[in-house]
Amino acid sequence: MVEVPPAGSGTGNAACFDASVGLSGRLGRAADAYRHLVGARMRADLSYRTSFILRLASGAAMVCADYIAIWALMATAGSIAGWTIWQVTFLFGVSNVSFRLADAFVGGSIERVAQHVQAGTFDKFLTRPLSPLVQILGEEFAVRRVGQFVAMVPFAAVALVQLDIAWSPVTAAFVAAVVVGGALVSASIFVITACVAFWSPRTEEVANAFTYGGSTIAEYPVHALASWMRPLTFTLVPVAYMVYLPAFVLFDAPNPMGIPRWASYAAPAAGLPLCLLAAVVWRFALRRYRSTGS
Amino acid sequence: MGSLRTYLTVARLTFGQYATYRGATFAGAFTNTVFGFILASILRSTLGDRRIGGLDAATATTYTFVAQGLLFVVGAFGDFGLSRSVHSGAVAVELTRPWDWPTYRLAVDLGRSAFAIVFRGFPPAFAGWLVFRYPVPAVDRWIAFLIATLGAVVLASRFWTAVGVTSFWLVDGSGVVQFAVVVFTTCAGTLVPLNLFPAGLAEALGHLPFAAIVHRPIEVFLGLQSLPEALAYQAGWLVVLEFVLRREVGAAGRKLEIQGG
Repeated sequence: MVEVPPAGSGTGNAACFDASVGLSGRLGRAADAYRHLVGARMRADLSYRTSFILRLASGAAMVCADYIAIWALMATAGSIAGWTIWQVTFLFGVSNVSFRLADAFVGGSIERVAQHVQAGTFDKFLTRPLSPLVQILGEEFAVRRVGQFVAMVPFAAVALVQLDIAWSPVTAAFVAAVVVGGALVSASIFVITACVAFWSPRTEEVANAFTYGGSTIAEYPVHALASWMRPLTFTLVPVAYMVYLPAFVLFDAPNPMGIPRWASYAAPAAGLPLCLLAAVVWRFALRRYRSTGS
Repeated sequence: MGSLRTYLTVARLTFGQYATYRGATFAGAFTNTVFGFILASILRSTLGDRRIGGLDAATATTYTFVAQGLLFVVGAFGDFGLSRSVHSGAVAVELTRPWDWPTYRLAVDLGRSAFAIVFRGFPPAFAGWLVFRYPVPAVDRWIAFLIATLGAVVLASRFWTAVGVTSFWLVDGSGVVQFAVVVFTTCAGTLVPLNLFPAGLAEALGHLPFAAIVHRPIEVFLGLQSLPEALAYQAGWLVVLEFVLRREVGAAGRKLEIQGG
């Protein structure tokens, strides 16, 4: 992600942001530190092997259980807002591959910001010569959430095979762009909502409404939502760009809400401006942070 | 062991404890409301003019919002606190006090539920009613629903305590609690009403304790099943879980080692 110098950075930061060290050097160091932090976290988690495996399995079971509800509904109702079981499965699978990828690498760790702010342990991230964002993403890396990501891949794969898609190298590249773009959208939502912790204590659950609520919306066609909710999925909780809009390219079908095809082609790029926005919000939130001082 | 007064005090203090976390209460109610809007709106467009398993678009909306309101009341997010206190050893203090420990756990859950019904259950349901104007029954069914909810809270307390006590035999019991949460939310009808599951599966799930905690009280509210039927299922499962829990607590008490110092 983006390097963020914390407010009032101490002398320790001088090394990291030394002008003589180029941008690539700084990024290289950050990547190096990130790798070490993740490695340490993984070794710590794996020392409780049985418990770790159980968590991995229960995480995977949890995301698969979500599909049971959708499958049951499709089995009795036949379709959701005109979409067949495989179209809905495609939405479910691909949106969850993106979301769980973001959850494993960003969500699971950034959620811990709230606890650190409350406990007063967030200060330690500001005193070290490395971006606080890189530190928290590395140190709190949620290995078990990788299990949720892995569990979602078969859903996306089976749906892609079952759907009548005209495959070409361009289509394949487009699907890859959809997955990456969706992950960037989800990661941005995670970072932005985690910043609530800097303003108001013990309200971190508000973030869930946007992160996990957003991922639930992304599992269904937007035109199945109440008409007043649809615009929100393009603005406040921008999950429509993840899979719903791009899906019309792959289905080669007109959008029932009259959204033009070029917007469907462009949708995977929406992750980039959102990441920039997330970086700005994170930087702003850090400036605002005041330690409890205890 | 332990007087009624003690348990009432525990319940009252737990109520007060939750009342101090206003931000967390607001955040939780907000999240339940958002999920209610999403799920209700999907069900409405899926059902259209149809009626499946006794539910149409309007009553499915009622079901969804009552379910969202019940989630925190019956502790559907799991009791990780118990698992942690077993892990840290703090549970020893509770276990050695002169009271019946499972009854103490019930008092805690009753205090939490009383708070949750008013501040976590009612706000999402009311917000949903303001937007969707879903049908609500007459007073008699509200009373029947509250009685069924009380039964659900007692049964849920036994279930989550029995799940949490397994931590005595595990290095880290949170995996089991997590797993129980998954089974609970899938089988109780919290995401999609059990009425909308394929008939055979819906009937099978209806016999389980999870349905007795969420699905049956909601059906009482909607007038789709009688109060005695719901209570009978709750009583049946309560006997089973009570037996399991007592056996567990007995075994855990023999395993408990308190190190001084």
